[in-house]
Order: sequence, then structure tokens, then C-alpha cells
Amino acid sequence: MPNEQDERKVATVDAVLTEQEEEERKKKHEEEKDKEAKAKKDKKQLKEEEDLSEEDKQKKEELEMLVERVQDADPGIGKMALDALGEELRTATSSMTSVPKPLKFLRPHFDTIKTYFESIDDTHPNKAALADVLSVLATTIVNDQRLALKYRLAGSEDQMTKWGSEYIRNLTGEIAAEFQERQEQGTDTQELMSMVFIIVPFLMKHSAPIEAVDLLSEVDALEKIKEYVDDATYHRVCLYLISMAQLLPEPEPAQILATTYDIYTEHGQFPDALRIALKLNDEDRVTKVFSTCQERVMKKQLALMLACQRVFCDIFDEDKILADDELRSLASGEQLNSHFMLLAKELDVMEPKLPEDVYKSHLEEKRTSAVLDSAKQNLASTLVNAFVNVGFCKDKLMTVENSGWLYKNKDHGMTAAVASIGMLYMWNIDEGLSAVDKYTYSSDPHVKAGAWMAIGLTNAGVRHEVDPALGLIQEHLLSNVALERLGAAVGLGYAYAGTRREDLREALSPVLLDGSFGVEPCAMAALSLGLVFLGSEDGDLVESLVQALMDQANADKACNGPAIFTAVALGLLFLGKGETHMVETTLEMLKAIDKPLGKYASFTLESCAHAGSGNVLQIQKMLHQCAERTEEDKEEEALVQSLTVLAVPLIALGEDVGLEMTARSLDHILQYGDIPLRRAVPIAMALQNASNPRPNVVDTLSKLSHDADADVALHAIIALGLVGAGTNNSRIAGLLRQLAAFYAKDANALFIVRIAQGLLYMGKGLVTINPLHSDRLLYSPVNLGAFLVVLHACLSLKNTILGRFPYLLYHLGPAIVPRMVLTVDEDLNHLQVPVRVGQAVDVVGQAGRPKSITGFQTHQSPVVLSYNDRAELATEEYVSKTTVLEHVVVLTKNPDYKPTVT
Amino acid sequence: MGNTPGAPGLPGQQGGQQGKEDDKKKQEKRKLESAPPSHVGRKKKKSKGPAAAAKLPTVTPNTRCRLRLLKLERIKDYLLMEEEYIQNQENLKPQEEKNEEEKTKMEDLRGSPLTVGSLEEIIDDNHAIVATSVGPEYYVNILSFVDKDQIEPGCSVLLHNKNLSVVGLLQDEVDPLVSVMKVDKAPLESYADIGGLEQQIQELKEAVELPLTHPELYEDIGIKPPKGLILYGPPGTGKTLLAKAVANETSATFLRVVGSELIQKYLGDGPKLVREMFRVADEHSPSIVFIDEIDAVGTKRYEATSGGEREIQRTMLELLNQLDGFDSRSEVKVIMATNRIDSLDPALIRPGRIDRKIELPNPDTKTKRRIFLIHTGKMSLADDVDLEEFVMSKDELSGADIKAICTEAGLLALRERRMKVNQEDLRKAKEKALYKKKGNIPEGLYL
Repeated sequence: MPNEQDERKVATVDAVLTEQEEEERKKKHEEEKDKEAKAKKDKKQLKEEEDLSEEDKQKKEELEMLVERVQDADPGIGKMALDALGEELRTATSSMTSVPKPLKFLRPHFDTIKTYFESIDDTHPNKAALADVLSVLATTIVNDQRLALKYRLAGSEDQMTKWGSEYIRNLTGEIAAEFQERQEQGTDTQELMSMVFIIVPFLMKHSAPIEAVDLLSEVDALEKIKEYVDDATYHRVCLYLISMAQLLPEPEPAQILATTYDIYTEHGQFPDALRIALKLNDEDRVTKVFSTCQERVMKKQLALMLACQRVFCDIFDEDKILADDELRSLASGEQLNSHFMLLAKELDVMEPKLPEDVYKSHLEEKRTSAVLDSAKQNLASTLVNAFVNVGFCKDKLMTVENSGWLYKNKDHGMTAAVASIGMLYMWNIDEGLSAVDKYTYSSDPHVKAGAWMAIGLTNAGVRHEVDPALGLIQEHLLSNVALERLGAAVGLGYAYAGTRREDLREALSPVLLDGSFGVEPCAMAALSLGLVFLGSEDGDLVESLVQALMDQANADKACNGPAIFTAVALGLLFLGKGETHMVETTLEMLKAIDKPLGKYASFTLESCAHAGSGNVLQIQKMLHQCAERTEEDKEEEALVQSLTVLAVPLIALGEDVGLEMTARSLDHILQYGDIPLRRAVPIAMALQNASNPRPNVVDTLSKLSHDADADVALHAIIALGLVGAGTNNSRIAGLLRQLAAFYAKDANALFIVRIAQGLLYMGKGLVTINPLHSDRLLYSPVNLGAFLVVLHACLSLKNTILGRFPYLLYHLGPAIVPRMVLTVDEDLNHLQVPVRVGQAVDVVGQAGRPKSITGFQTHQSPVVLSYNDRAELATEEYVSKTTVLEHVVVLTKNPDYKPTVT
Repeated sequence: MGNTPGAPGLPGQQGGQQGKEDDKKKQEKRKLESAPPSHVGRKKKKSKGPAAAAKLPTVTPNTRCRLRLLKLERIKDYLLMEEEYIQNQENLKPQEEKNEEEKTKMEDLRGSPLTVGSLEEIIDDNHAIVATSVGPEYYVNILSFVDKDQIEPGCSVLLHNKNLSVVGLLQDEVDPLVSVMKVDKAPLESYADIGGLEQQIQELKEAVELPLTHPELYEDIGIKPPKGLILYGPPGTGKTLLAKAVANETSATFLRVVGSELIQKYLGDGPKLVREMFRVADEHSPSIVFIDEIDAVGTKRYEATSGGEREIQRTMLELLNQLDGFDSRSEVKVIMATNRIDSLDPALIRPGRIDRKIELPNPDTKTKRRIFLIHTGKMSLADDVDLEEFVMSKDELSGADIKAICTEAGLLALRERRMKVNQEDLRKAKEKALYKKKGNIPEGLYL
């Protein structure tokens, strides 16, 4: 009886009242059912009786007779009557819109049977069967005593499932409520559990696995689901579990994910198991996936997935159990550059672009041709050039023979120019090093500093066998020139983000502790340490960073200087850790720093610790902070407060519902907040929608880019760049061109507009800076950490990017990943297959086999994916090793494939 | 048109007059000019702009499950936080006073009385050409507080009485013809007033009411609910009655229209009315549109000779498009009624447009009995009345005929000043009714 319960609810709402009246009336006339009695009944009764058709009347009488028989003294007759009743109830089907007839007719007799049931003693042979019938009837009675369950418990054990799914569904609801009540009272739940374990297999068998999961989670026995899933259901169950895990409070998600992990490994779905292991950030599980998986090709795929996440890449090193050279090379991302070049070649975007190609200033509406500070514009061009041609190993400014571009820059402009070589040769260590080589011999410390950064950048996201970066840079860390120290420190940060290598601690710590060269090298060394030991909660480091903060906080206006990056570094150490003991103690320590910088650090720390958790309480806390007022003239405190705005999307990251809702919260802040908070809103929007130019976000930002407050406008412009990063979005391009014309006279604003244009065309539209990947399930901590650094820099633009640290923008480098689907065969050679790309559809809990993408187009691989896109193979000839087609995907021949004969 | 690049706060003007030696001055200046770029011209769809930002995320899956519950709870949490935040802010800085102040200021600027004009053309963000009823067209300013997303060429705008600048727009532009269609007062007929037709009522409910009240049932099983249905059958079998019952029971907006209403005097008015009707239905969704006597516009297409016929066909084509066109309207259900389904255009009743065809046949004996009971239920009958005689008779009686018989019998009784209707009255009434029925139509043609 599918879905009848529901209709019953619909139908009964109006029917209940009249039927209950009727019921009472009928009870009186229970014994004398002859026609004279009927005639005496009031008019309405008569009418209703006559409304019944012939068959219905007959059925009604039949049922009434059965009810009488049930109460017969002879158990034999009673039994027969009961069986007949049961049969009637079971076989009754009807339309979706009404209550099954037998149930309707039996409702009035519920109390009769109930009294009879209570009158007979427990040994009566029909007692259990009677309870069964009562239990079914109870589902139609509106009550709050959970009658159905009560009689179920008295009924026969094994007969439960024969009453159909509607009855079971009703029962599950009552079990869940009863369980909760009993647990609160501390009474025994054993009998409930045994029922649950009968119901769950039934639900699994009748294509209602979602309900099975729900029931188990209500009774706190979710891990038991493992025993009931089979090949047909496990996928749906797991998808559902994963979605659910994102919404539950700690510590449930971890348990659920662990269960999911077990299910996946049991069914040989290693890629999915690996994704879960990565989500759990659990090295043991990652190792276990590799050691259980026996298939070589699959292992290659898994290693490639590790490369994407950029963690645990060292588990294949020689001294580890999984020592394997090929896998190590795959997991280290050594092929990233060649893959990217392949993508570029296939999509025909190899030709390097000049900044002018991006500005398209011929399209701007030129009013005046004022000459602006050319150094600043050249610096902008350098940065734009670096972003646009990132990873292509070729450009038209820096890498051409006898380029004089470097000397068109001065001071930190030169640093940025040299460092841009690193961006150009990103992921390509060998060529990159030879290109940078000549600058390492320069006498100008600016150039040298740039060279160290460039070396670091070429290494970003890639582990090279020879590991050249540390060797080349290390000796310059303790140079006598502050700039070189700084460059070297920054370079190491780029190269080793997320590796947690001990030798880097040794190398960088002296720079951090040596304050004799000013704050800048210290802060940058701290930042690099933060990146390297991302999310490690390393006690020693925490101590030394807090110490450094104490020293730096004493300076005047510390929050307007590079010192904030020491605070950011401290936050990075706890990225995504949640509420741990260490977090609390560190927060306590920070309380001792009674300066804005101390608060800055503690806000950063809190927001980083809960990054991606979707923890509503934390968001609430942050919004509370937002709501507090600060005095207008205290600029530093205002900056600190604005961090809370940034924290909101950071915490909500990775959970779709929350992320969408934060958009509304940000909107409110925009409406009610003071100027410092408004300033942070565009940056927060950039975090929320990195590389995801949704029209309404772009609309809001474009409005803000004309805001009365200059800083809000600047932030909005750079946010436009970040929101569109690597997408070539033409709408944003048009807006930015308008802005370029509008701000033609304002050197700073124009600089920012140019940078935003560069960001928009980043990697010629082949890359993304969004830290979420693998169907938005995972975020790479390295990408997120690096991105956060840039966002913090953006929050105080004037002191960082517009000031002396334009190269902070290169911290985007480690956050950049190609947004591609590249298909390769078993030997990792490129394989061209048709691929469908379309907008992802949420298929969790949908009936049947719903399409996972909509509005798709078929392309030949490789293809690029945008934020909301999903890809699937459009050919039967190959099968992919992983379910999520992203990055590099290994394909194998489909053994069942039969080419269609045409 | 209109959206010239670089228009917001033209930098040229600004630069030329001001120079940039004084930063502060410049900022003030910019404050005045900082009109956000807007999208004049075409009116925006509902889904874009700030309205979309305020929209809540859609929650999937639609089936009842814990995941859905969790997601909804999460949304609730966020909404509570928003509420709290706004409350805090309101306590700190009440917005109402500020708003009130701004409102009075705006009223001052608008002046009164206001002239109504129509917008002819939008020149740029701040200027437009308007026409007033008096005649000449004017090139005027658009004041900054006018929502430029809402104006489009051809809409009615409010103009200042002296300088004629645009100070507002008239929003309500629902065709008055359409607003008449909306059924505000539910009809008195309910399902209880229908004798028989159980099967038909059930089908109707499944196709029209359940998808609006319980969409998840369809989602559960993985099908799309039907979009609309057509009721057909001989005259007097209760097609309109059934629709009335739906209107009575449902909580959805009920629009009713008769096919002939869609035929208008001027070219293009008919299709426009159809469009307008569906737009209103969509705005008030969930809604049910009932088109009675659809054969007025929905007849088969043929080589039309007169302009009027062609216009009717165009009206139908618009109807076709609205029923299964480009924009999906999942929350608008269509019920049509006709007694000549064979003459309808096949495109109109193809699955996808009209998924269910419900036939309402002449009643059988059982149904006839019930119809008699319904109609005689409120009449005072003499003891000698035996309805079985009429029920069992061989005549083809439709529901309407039965009603006519009952009414006629009542009248006969009244004529004789009796308080009760007896069997003889009914007999006479039946003869009369049937005679009328047969009298009008040559019998042979229908057999």
C-alpha cells in the first residue's frame, strides 16, 4: 500500500472530525445492528449510509461480522476471523487520495477490539495476532500515545513487515520518538533496537534506503548501516551520509564519515574512500586505502588525487611502508606542468598575452590621456603579465631575449618583476630554475630577493625529487641584507606550503627570532612557517609565533604593518582544526597581548580553526562581534573588527546551504554596518565566491565599486577580480573596463583595476583559485591558506599591496590550480574522449537514477570546468577509475563495450 | 540602448571641472555622482538582482528525510542569526526615523500633484524622453531615487508637475480583464454536490490538487506531475460543476475564463490576454486556470479566410505556447472543459500540454440515483414519490436534465399550491423536460 498513510493524513484532516462523531454514535449501537436501529439514527447518519455503494455496504457488514467473530469464545473461530481481517487489511488498495476502505470501516471498532484485547489473558493463543491487527488500526487513530508501537511490541515478532511499507513508515516515526523518550528516562531500548533491525533490512529491500539511514540515525546506530548495504544501494546511502555529515554538529560528522569510508572500502570504491579519508584528514586511512587497493591503475588514479589535495604526498617516500617511486612522482604533482601545457595546447591558448591584450584599452572610453605614475603602471603590468601567463613558461615581457622590462621597474617593482618569472614557470622546476638563474648573481638586493621568490614559486604545489629550492635558498636566509632575508623566507613559504618539514623549521626559525633587521623579514618568515606547518598545531611554533607577536605588538600602529602576517601565520597553524585544547590555550596566551594586534591574532585564529566547519555557533559569535560598535577614530580596532566579516564565509565554506545563507548575512552587514565593516564585505564575498562569478554577486560588487568610501570601492574592485579569477567572464571584463575609464586619474584605483583585470584572465582562463575541489567536498588546506593570506593583505590594501609588498599577491600562486578534466590511459598518456560538461545537480536522495548534470555540452577532453560544473564520460568505450571527473582522470577500456555497427 | 559604457559619473566632466589636487573635495564630489550602474531598458526577471540575494536557497531532496530536515534547520539557524543581528543594529541605530526622514524628503522632491506620462525612450542613466497625454514629448531628468531596474520603454511613469522629471513609476499594470478572472469568492458547490463521478474526481485531484499540495509524492516516485487536464463529455454532465468544486476546495488561486473571452476586438489583444493571464497565474502561484468552452478558441486549424479567424488561431497558438512553452510553470495547473473534444486542435491536447483527458459520460443508473437524491434532498417530497421509476427509465438523462426535472416538478407543485411534490409532478416534469430536449434538435442526427 504505497503512500497511503500520507493521503490518509491529507484526507483525514477534514474527515476526522465527522468520522469521530460518527464513531461515537456508532459505539452506542454496537450490539444491535439491525435495520430498525439504523432507521432511528439521525438524518445525517442515514444520508451517509446511503452514500455508500452496494459493494461498500457489503464489505462493511462483512467486516463487522469479522469483528464480532474475533471476540468469539472459540480460539479457532477467532483465529480464522483474525486471519481474514488481516487479509482484508493487507490487500486493500485504493487511490492516492483516500483511506483504504477496510481501514475506514474498521476504525469505529478499534475500541471494541481494544477492550476485548485487554480482557483476554496473555496465554490466549490469538493475543499476538490480535495485537498485530490493533497495531495496524492504530495508525489511523490520531493519538499521542504511540498506540501502533505499543501493540506492535505486544504482537508477533516476525510478522511486522507483512503489513506494507506505509505501516512501517508510521512505525519508524513512533520508534524514533519512543527511543528518544526512553533514552532520556534511561530505560531499556533493547526491544526497540531489535525491531529496528527487522525494519532496516525491509526498507533496504524496498528501495527506501534513505529511510533506513534516517531510522538508524534516530536510534544512534548509524554504523550498523554497513551490514545492510549492498552493491545496489551503497552509493546512494553514502552520498546521503556525506551530505548529512556536513550538517551535523561535532563529533557526529567524523563518525558518519568513518562509516562511509568503511562502506566504500568494502565495496572497492577506493577513490571515494580516499576522498573521505582526505575529508577526515586522516593519514592512516589514506595509507590504508593504498595498501588495500591491489590494482595498479587504480593506485595511479589515487596518487593523482593526492596530488590535487596537495597533502600526504610523502607517504611514498623511500623510507615509508608504501615506498613506490612511480606513485610518489604522481602524487608529488611533477606532471602538473606537462598536463597543464597539454591542456593549453589542446585548447589553443599557447600564445602569450601582453597586459594590453587583457586591458583592451581601445575599448575603454578615453576622455583624457593623463600620464600616471609610470612605475606603478609598470608594476601593474608586471603582475598582470605574471597572472595571465601563469604556468605557460612563455610571455612577452620577461622571458623574451634581451628584455629590458626588468629595468623599467624600480625597487620592489624589480622584486615583483623577477618573482614573476616564478609565476610564469609555475610547476616547471627545471626550466624555471634556469630562467631565474641569471638573476641570482645580481648585485641588487631587490633583484636577488625576487629571484628567491621566483625559485619558490616554481616549486609551488610540486615536490621535486632533487628538491632544489631549499638547497638554493637556504643560505640566503641569514643574509645581511634585510630584503634578501625576506625574499628567501617568502620563497620557502611558496615552495613548501603544507609539507610540515622539520628542516624548514630549523631554517626559518632563526629569521623569525632575529629582530635586528626590522619587522618585515620576521613577519614574512612567520608567514612562511605558518604556510609550511599549515594546520599542524605545532606547539613549539605556536610559542615562538606568540612570542614574536608580543614583540611586534608593541610597535606603534602594528596592525598597519607587516606584523599582521605573523598573526595570520598563527591562524594558519590551526587551519580547520576545530575546537581543540591547543586552540583554547593559544587564545588564552593571546589575551596577554593587550593590543589590537593581539585581538587581530585571536580573531584570525578562531576563524581559521573553524574554517570549513559550517559551525553555526561560531558564525553567530562572529556576527555578535560585528554588531558591536567601535569608536570611529580607532582605525586599528576597526580593522580587527572587520576580520569577523571575513570569518563568516570562511567558517561556512564547503557547506552549500550555509554558504548561500552567508550571502544574506553579508547583505545585512552591508546595510547596517559601519564603514570598516562595509570595507570587509567585498573581500568576504571574494572568499565566498572565489572564481565563481555569479551574476548577483557581480552586481553587488559592481555597485560597491562606485561606493562613496574609497576603500570600499577599492576592495570591491579587487574582489571583482578574485570572484572572476581565471574565468574570462566577459561581464566582469566590461565592468572593469568601465572602472578603468572611471578611475583613469586615480593612480591607486587604476592599479587595482589593472590587477583585477589580470586576475580575471588568470592563466588565460584555465585556472581557478577556489580551494574547494572534488565535487566541492574537499578543500585543499594549502590552497585555502595561501588564499587567506592574500585576503588578509587585501583587507589592508594601502599598507600591503598598494604599499611596499605588491608581491604578496604572488601568494595566490600556491592557490592556483588548473580547472581541468584531463583524461589519460593506463600508462598516463593523454587520451582524447568525448566528455559531457554541465551544471551539477544535487542528486542526493533523489528517486531513480537522476541525471547528475544539466544543460550539458559534449566536448573532446581535455576540458575546463567552472565552479558549479560537473563532467561525465560521453562514451561507453572507456570507464573512469574515479567517480568524480576532475583534474587528471585515468581511463581504462570498458570490457563490455561493443562498438555499434553503423 | 541606453546603457552607454562609462556613463556612471562621467569622469570627464568630473576631471575637467575639478582637477585632482584636493582629494577630499573629489570624494565629496564623487559621492554625488556615485550612481551605481544600472540596467535600464529591459525589465529584469524576478530571479536577478538584490531580490535574488534575499531568496532562500532551494533545499533538495524534496522527499521527507532527515537530510532535508537538517538543511531546513540550518537555514532557520541562519535566519535567526540574521534576525538577531538586525535587532541588535536596530537597537543601536533605529532605521525607522531615518527612513521616515528620507521619505518626507522624497515627497518634497516629488511635489504634488503628479503628472502621469509614458516613457518613450531612455537616453542614458539619468535622462529619458517622456510623453504626456497633452501631446508633446519632453527630454527630462530621471531622479536618482527612481528604481531604474524597474523602468522600461512604454511603462507609465510619474512626472513632476513643473519640470516633468521622472519621479516614480506606476507599478500596477495587470490587465483589468485578467484581474476580473480571479475567483475571490469561492463558489458554493463542493465535491459533495456531485453525484457519482468518483473516478473522475479522483483523477482530477491527482492531476491538479495533489501536485500543488504534495509535490514530494511525485518526486518520491520520480515523475513529473501532469500539467493540465481536459474535461469533456456531453452537455450537462457536470464539467463546470466539477471545476467549481475544485475552486471551492482548493486553497490555490483560481482563475476562470471562458474561451470566448479570449477573443478580442483588436489584433494581438487576444494573445496578449492569454499571456497576461498566465503571468498573473504564475505570480500568484500555486494557481489553477480553468478555461471553459475551450472550443471557442481551440478548434482545429484550417486555411482561414477572414482576419478574425486568423486572430482566433493566433490566440490558440499563444495558448499552446503558454501550456508547454519555453518557460516552465510548474505551479500553474490548467483545466479545460469542452463538449466537442473531437473538434479541438490535436496540438492543444497532446500529452505534455494536457496530460489527462477525463471523460464525463452521461450518468448510469447508479449515478442517476445519486443525482436525483442530491437534487431532491432539499425538496419536500410527498410519500408517494418513488424516484426509482425515473432512475430505471431508459431515457438518456444528463445531470442537467435531472436538475431540470426536479425544478420543473417543484414549479408544477407550486402552481397547484401544494407544499409537497408528488410523483405525478415529477412525471409531468420529466415529459416536459425531455420534450424540450428532443424538440429543439432533429432526433435523427444524433443517432
